[in-house]
Amino acid sequence: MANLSKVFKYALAPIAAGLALTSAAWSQGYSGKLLATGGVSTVEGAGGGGLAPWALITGYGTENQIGGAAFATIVNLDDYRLRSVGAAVGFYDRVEISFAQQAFDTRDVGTALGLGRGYTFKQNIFGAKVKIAGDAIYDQDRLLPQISVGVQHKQNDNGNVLAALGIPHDKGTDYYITASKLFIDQRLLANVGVRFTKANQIGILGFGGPNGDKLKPQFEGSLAFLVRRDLALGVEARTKRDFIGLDESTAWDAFVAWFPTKNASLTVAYVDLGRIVIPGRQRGVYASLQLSF
Amino acid sequence: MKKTILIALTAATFALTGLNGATFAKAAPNEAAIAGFGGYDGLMKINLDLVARVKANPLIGSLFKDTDATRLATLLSDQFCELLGGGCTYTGNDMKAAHQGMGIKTHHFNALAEDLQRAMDAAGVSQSEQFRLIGKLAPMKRDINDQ
Ligand code: HEM
Repeated sequence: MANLSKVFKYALAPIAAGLALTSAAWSQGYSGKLLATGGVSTVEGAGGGGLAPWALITGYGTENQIGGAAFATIVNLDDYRLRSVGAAVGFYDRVEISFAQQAFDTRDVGTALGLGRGYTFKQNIFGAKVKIAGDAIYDQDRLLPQISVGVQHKQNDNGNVLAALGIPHDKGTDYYITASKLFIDQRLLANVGVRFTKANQIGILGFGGPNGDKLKPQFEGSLAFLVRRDLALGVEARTKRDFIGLDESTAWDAFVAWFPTKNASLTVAYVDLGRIVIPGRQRGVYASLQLSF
Repeated sequence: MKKTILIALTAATFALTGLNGATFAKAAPNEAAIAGFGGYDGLMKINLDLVARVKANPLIGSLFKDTDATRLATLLSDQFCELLGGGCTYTGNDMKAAHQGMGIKTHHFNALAEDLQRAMDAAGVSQSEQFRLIGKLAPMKRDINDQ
């Protein structure tokens, strides 16, 4: 019960932001994109799936509209809990600006590492994405996918702890290019991307380490099937590099995303984030509520 | 199958001779390709419903206020039938000429697409058939939208 009220409190900020955004949408008249084509919010704030950004611009704004999304996500793993809240605005279906704040609760592992029980790593992520070519939805008669490039600047507030682990940076910037294509006839949305990064566990454990301090390309991809126009089933994968020497490995998930209206979506997933510091893969449940216009 | 064609032909004859003003049904050369939409007759019902919905749509309705519903629904049915492999021949204007100067943007295009989805839902068209048609219409946005 206590947990539930925590979740509630936690969801309130994005709900308030979402309502503010929605009323802004009303004043401009219409959320012009087709249902679900704004995607959901990744844990890093960008529009996409849960783990991998898509080339689509978040929210429901078309070429003469502004769209947006606010979200709250919880990932409950075997030994950790990641929470992420944030918002993104899409301008004219061309540019997306996003912000996310992550809190990674180490629970009992914090005690084992001498950080204290429930030591929580926090990270702020400022993102931007620009569509550079193609149209994932309308170019059904062309092979060219929609292509976007993006950056995510990440600021982690745990420099001292990270330095003790031999991790040189508590700030870092990821650069990515991503291609998305909806095959309407097959009801499939395919997405592939390459991210240049030196983040450890997407930045929660800082950037770089004993095994390297240079940006390295990582693969991310997803495939979703539209059961109906308001319901998608899919899988995602994202490779991660082991800069620290703690066997960091690929993360993947299998998700269901439901879009009852253009103003709200709910995503639930089974995630496997691979090894995170302690031995064994971290698996669990991902749940994300998004409000959008 | 034969029976449907017979009924359709009879209906078409009535329509042509003006004995039955409410039915304008005809059979497509390849009805099987549009069976998921209830054949040509089904397409016609869906498109009459679509035109009624767009006329009532606050975003785009004003453009259709003087539209002859039966004429437009017939042109749309011919067009959809042709796109879906039903073997009909669309005889109206090309999409660029038909929509020039209307100031159509993506949100208008999608408003019509959503009305079409609602009309197909109401007619009980399966999701896979709906996606098949929407997939054929999507690239037309290039010609229909005002650049
Ligand atoms: C996939 C989308 C669309 C298709 C397949 C389509 C098809 C057609 C067809 C076949 C015609 C008849 C052309 C003729 O008279 O020869 C037509 C006319 C017209 N269309 Fe579209 N159209 C589409 C989207 C739109 C949109 C988004 C709008 C406006 C929001 C629009 C507004 C009109 C209007 C106002 C007419 C004239 C109707 C009349 O005769 O009064 N169309 N369209």
